[in-house]
Amino acid sequence: MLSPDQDDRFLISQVEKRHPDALLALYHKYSTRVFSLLYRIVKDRSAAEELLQDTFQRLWDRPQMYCSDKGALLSWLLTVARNLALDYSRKESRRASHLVLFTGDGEDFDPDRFPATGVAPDADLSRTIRQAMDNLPPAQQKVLELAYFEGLTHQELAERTGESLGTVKTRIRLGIAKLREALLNQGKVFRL
Amino acid sequence: MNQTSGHWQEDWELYVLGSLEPAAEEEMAAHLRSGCRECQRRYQEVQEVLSAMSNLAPTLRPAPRVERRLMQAIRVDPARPRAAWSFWQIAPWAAGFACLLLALGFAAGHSKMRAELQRANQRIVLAQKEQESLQQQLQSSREAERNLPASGTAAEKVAMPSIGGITAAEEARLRAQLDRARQRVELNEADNFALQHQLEQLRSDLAAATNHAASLEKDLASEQAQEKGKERIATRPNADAATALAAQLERSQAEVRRLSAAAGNGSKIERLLESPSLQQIFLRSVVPQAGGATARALYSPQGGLLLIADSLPALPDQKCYQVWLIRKSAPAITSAGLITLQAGGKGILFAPPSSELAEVTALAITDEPAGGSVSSRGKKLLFGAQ
Repeated sequence: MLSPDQDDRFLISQVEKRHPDALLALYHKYSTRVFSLLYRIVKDRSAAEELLQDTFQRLWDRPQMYCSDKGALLSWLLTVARNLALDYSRKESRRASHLVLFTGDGEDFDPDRFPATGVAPDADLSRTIRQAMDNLPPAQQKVLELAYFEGLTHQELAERTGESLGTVKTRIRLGIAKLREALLNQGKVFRL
Repeated sequence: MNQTSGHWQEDWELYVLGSLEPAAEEEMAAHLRSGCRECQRRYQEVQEVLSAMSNLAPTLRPAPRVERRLMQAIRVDPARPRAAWSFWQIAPWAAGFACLLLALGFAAGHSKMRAELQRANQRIVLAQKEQESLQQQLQSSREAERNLPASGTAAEKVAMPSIGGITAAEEARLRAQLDRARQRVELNEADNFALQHQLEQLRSDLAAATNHAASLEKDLASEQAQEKGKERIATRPNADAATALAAQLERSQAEVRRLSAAAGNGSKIERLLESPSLQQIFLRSVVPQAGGATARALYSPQGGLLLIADSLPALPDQKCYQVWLIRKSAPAITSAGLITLQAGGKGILFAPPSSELAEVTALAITDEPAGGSVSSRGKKLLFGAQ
């Protein structure tokens, strides 16, 4: 029996052998984290659900795309999910009308009604990253939020903030360096 | 882009964020693929920070339908390797066996839900009994209170018996007892409310599971009748029917897993209610736009936070309700999560256990942009302090 408690590398190897239960175990483990990010970016429940399914479908279709040497599986899933969400948001923003692309199947949305699946979000990590963000100068916070959650290019960031490209790049670099330092100090990441 | 000694020194942040122009991005991707260890290390470092940044998004759980859809999609995946012997030879037998196993699975899930329901019912009965007993205590305390003198300094009361024959010390003791009794009644009312809600949910899930089980038993009986009636070798249409049945059974299996997980919610609330450091805060509207909305929250660092709100006004689509913890120590203000409105303006938030639930002095509910905010930007609508 495969369960979310098992090692990611083992579960991925089972996904490669086409065992649906292995994908289900990974879904139970990471879907809450991935869904939270998707919803934060697209701000639409149905779209976030579709994108969540797409993210895990990609893992099923092409598990070899994930390489454990290049980082944790969760990071990979979040990267895939973020890219899908930003693509979706860009397409949506180009639409003149607010078309409803996705329809629910009548199941009422109540996130708290549903059981927490897999690992609970790391409260300490959340606090550390939030505190670290709060400690950044507002201009650095702003460019990081715009870049991460809205996916603006450095050109678009420069236009949006009215700063030069160089300034935008420096703010991103410094902001990420400070966040990393805070995570290092709390033992949430390690020097590689 | 700044490339020295074959390494990009500055641009991995932009690369990982996807903020580079396509040409530059492709150049760096090719460099990464070339196996440069230094740049792969830098890439991973930035990746870790951005992965942590995802924690800035308020926690939300996906609906169970996503899991169902995903499982449906992948279980018909034709790329799955075939068994050594022909599927058509074993499909009818496999389907029959799966039926049997699934029926057993349903029975197990069903009995787990029943046990959960029974525990919830027992707990409600106990809570109601305790409440009755406390109300009796409260009643007698109130009677005692009525006998207390209307005024007079504590010194006077200590010095001489009051009109009702109760000393100041006794009065203080009765008042303290009264306060404790009031607090316990309030806590029990909150317990009852939460348990009733949980019970309703379990009843509804149990009804759904019962229906599924009945339908499954019917399918199983029909399949068995078919098996008994036929002596011939399985034909292709039979195998098709068996395959469809097997797919349906697999979907039902996923449903059983979801329902079993739903039953687990009860134990989480139970764990919260049993926490020794359980605290309670009532929130009331502080602006006219919140109308007569109220909320009550039970929380402890070990048990999590359960907030139940009533009469919350509907918000525009691009807004949501977010709950904030106001704490004695840093972080002084931190998000506890989002509330999604239910019918009749009801809303429930259950946040998992967290050290941030220690040293909470007050709670606030604000309206924030959909998806929530990292730091509160919306209007404070409800507020309550300890």
